Amino acid sequence: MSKIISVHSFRGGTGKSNSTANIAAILAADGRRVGIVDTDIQSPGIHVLFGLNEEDMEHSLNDYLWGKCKIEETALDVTDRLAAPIKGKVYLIPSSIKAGEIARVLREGYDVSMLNDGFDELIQTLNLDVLMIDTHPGLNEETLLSVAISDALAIILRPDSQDYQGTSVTVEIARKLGVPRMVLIVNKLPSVFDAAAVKKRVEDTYHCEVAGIIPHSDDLMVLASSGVFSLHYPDHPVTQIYKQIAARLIA
Amino acid sequence: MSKIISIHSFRGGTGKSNISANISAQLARLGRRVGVIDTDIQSPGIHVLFGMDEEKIDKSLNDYLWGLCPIEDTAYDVTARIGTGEVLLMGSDIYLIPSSIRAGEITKVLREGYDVGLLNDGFRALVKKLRLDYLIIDTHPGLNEETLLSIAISDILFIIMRPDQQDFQGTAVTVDVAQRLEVPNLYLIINKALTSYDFADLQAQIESIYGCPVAAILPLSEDVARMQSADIFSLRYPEHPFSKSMHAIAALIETLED
Repeated sequence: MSKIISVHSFRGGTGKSNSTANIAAILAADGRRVGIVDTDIQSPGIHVLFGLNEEDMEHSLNDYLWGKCKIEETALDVTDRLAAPIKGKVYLIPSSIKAGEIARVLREGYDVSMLNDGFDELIQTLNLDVLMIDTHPGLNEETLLSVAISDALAIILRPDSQDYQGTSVTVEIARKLGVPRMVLIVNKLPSVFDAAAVKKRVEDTYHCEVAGIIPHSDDLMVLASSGVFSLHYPDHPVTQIYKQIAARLIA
Repeated sequence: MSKIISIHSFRGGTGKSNISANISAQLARLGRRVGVIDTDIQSPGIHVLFGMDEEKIDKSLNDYLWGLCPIEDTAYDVTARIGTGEVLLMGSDIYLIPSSIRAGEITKVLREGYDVGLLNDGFRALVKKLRLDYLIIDTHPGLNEETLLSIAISDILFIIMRPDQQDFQGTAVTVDVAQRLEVPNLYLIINKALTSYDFADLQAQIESIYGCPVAAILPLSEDVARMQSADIFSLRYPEHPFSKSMHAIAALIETLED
């Protein structure tokens, strides 16, 4: 049975794209076929982690949403672009990075149910074990749909008051939409904070499992989204936490 | 003459809200009347920096956009809510126009939409009714209708980016849009730079890539992260390098001609 896993946060910059890419790579390293859809149409970014730029994308999710091509034609096999060889496969369905194409989505809109059809078609045609959905921050149509159809949802937050308030909004919505499995990830924890105390506080606040607490890492910042961290640093403590999160999401 | 200043970034989490709040506070310290409007309807957050939460927010920008009240009814004088910094702000005013943090009200905007032209009218009404010297617009990341409007009508635009490959690509998109919309004053702010980087080199590199000036490079600061958006950092720790940069940006704004 294939699984759909969405990664979301209310506020931006929590580490959705980096976490999505790392979890996808870890799941694929075990031999799975993993697809990643970038539904962050307003500000796409995850393609950068796989070394892609505008010229590398012949088709994007936008083309599919405008009826110009089939969704599987927008999927790029990025397995060979990863820093280390893996057993499985990683496919990326990127959003367009062209200003005109982003603005066109705003102007003309699109039929959101096409996204849902597209997800199913990707799973079928690419024979995926896991489809991961990277989202735009906050509440918007793509996100509500992604959350609604996910088997598992990871909500990321930083230890920041803006994130604490916003995360309650997302958790409330996810509960109303009846997501079968929901976990929280606390990211960018400053070194002076006690991870165990933060975990307890967050679990008590949201009544939801914390699948991992990721400390702030200068190593990750130096990599600066130029690659998938867990493959560059397979023995790093942050990689171990990503592995633990991946295991909780696939369980 | 009053000025409209937008703070934007393509990717999220660059520090838009923190920098918006701190620049507002620094302009207020200079005796200016400042309004801060949160156009981040999809994921509002800046109200937290001014000590506001759901219970303290009665009317919000959403109510104005739905025609339920005039925009000035959604403005909160937050001067006295600013933690220990308030003593520094005697004699000046900061007003916040928050977006709604209620899940139902955020999804209502998605479901029903609203007339974006109302935002523009609202900005003008705020400047006039509250006699503002500056209106600062905090935005949602990426390209969306609120952001395109805000950029188009701004006198000054600050685009924030981190030294991260995702931000490098995305910022090119925003700069391209801002140049097409002919913003009179366009600056970049580089935030969360590791202190091991050569700042002068980074600045020169970025200025040549985007063809626009860098107003400040802010080092990654655990001190700022530790405050967790609980207060306006530059008022609490005025001597900190981050605060001095915020003051310098306010001083730069003051030098810009109409």
